[in-house]
Amino acid sequence: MSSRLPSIAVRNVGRNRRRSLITGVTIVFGVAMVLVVRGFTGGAAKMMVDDVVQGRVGAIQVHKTGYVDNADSVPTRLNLPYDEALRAKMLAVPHVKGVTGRLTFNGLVSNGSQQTMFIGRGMDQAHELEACPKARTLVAKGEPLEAQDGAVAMLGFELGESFKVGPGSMVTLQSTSPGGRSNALDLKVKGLTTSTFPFENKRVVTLPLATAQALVGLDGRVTEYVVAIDDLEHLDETADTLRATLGPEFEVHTWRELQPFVRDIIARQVFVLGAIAFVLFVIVLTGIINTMLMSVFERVREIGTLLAVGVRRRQVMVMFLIEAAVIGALGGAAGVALGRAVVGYFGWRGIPFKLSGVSGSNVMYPFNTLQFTAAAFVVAVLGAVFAALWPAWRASRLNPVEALRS
Amino acid sequence: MPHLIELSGIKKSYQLGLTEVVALRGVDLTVDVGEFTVVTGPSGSGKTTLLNIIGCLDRASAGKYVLDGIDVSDRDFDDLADVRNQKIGFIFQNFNLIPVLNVAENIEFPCSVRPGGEDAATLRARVEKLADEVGLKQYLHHKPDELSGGQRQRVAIARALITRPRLVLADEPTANLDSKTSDQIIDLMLQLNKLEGVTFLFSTHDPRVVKHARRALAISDGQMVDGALAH
Repeated sequence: MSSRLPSIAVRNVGRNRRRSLITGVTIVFGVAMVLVVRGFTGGAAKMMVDDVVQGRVGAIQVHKTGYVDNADSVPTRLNLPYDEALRAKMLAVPHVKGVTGRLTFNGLVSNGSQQTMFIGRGMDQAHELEACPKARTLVAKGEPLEAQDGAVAMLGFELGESFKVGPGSMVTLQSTSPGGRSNALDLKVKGLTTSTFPFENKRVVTLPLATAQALVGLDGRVTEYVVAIDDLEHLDETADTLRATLGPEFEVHTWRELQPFVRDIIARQVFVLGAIAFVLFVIVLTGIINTMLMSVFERVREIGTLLAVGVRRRQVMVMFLIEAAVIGALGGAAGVALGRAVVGYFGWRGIPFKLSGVSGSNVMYPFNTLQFTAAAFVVAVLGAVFAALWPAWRASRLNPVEALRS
Repeated sequence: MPHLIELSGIKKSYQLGLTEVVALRGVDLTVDVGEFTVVTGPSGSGKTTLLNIIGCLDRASAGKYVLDGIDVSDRDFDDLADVRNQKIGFIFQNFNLIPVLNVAENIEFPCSVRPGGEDAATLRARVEKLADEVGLKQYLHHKPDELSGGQRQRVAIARALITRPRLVLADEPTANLDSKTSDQIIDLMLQLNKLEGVTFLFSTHDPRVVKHARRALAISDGQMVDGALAH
């Protein structure tokens, strides 16, 4: 390719400015929309994953084998010793950065006049924040649990509101030990928790681990270990290492396996984003095909001249592809700038967000990764080149005699 | 000395729907180096088709064509593109300049699509010399739409000569020019023919152009009439 043909291609972009502008605006709109949609869906997904991984479930959980298959019945009989040796063994696995124990059980909660079923979570506040660093931020009212707390409990905010209780109120929790022995404790409500999941808000009561152990008669025992890792990119690899380290007596699950609801919502968002991106892509491609075909039809004699003075067919084709790439690059760059500006503004400001079918309110922070932004730009350029293939091929196949006669 | 152009039994026919249109019916022609020749004939006589074949823009249906010692009858499109670029300069009735390029860039364009070639400074010096010869040195940075018809045709002439071609083909080069400008353009081409020794071959209806030619060829109904007619 000579130096003059790319120069002609670039200058041709400005030749019919209105048409190039319309095509460019189509690309700008398409790229910006994809970035905005991705920014918002990504922000929503991150909010949910953060809520799950950093606030509630942790990245990985370790149970006694058979526990998860029977999780609906909250099988406290499948419990594990809570000791430092086991914690240290897990902490020694690469990428593991925190481990805590929990005791999950069920029972009845009463405010003196009403009672309902609840799922209880006894948490070791000495280590909870190592495994779920955002746990303290999920407090709607009152104060989070502390390591020195005793006879206190946190209620999901919808449960608290329906019971008309708040910080300082008293509730009674009833439960049974694995052996069937009933027990009850009067606890002071320390606060109300919030979550993106309605079940958490309506049914979950959180209390200090020792209090929970006393209530269900499982001193020194837990039903699960919650494991935090340094980077979710290493999730499956770390789970595999834990399985190999702990042996068949334990089962290891990732948050995706434990929270399929969240995983499915994110998968749906990815699908919807893909569909939107595809529709925008088709619209943009159609615009570029139209522009390039018009360019070819307008320049038939010029193409004939190029062929006459010795330009090869391949060079004519490349010249039109460069022209399309320039339009794609200019439109893509402007689209990236616009999309990043919109996403950046809302990412800085934050958006109170309510997911469909999910109670509670959280702040969503839209974001785009550099990789996705770069990919959107590259797709804009390659898409423009792809759309121009047929018009460029038509231009290159023109008969010079007929082209010069036009 | 071998002929620059040797056509033997050149035939050309087109399929127009179900009808076969015969444009050339067996043309034999030779043109020597340095000639200044016109091809005349009524519209539809086949002179443009003949020039297209001589210019390697089109291929004959039958016959043999040797250009500067090379048989180009069966060359493929890319080979013919190279032959055109290296051996032939074109001057078109409608000038056919590249609108986004300025005068200097239009003149140097055929050289810029060659692989390798001379360095930019040498090429630019030749462009300026040619622009000076065609009287456009002060217009090097003008775009074609800032020039008159005569000036545009002068640019086209300079562009045709920049590759130092063996042959310059001009299809009705004065058809879109007024009589005064036409005379200037013909004078310029005659001068370049003498100065550069380049062979010129025209198709034209213009009797003033025919008057200046050293050799006139007539074509009618796809055949040369009375062979070559020398002035």
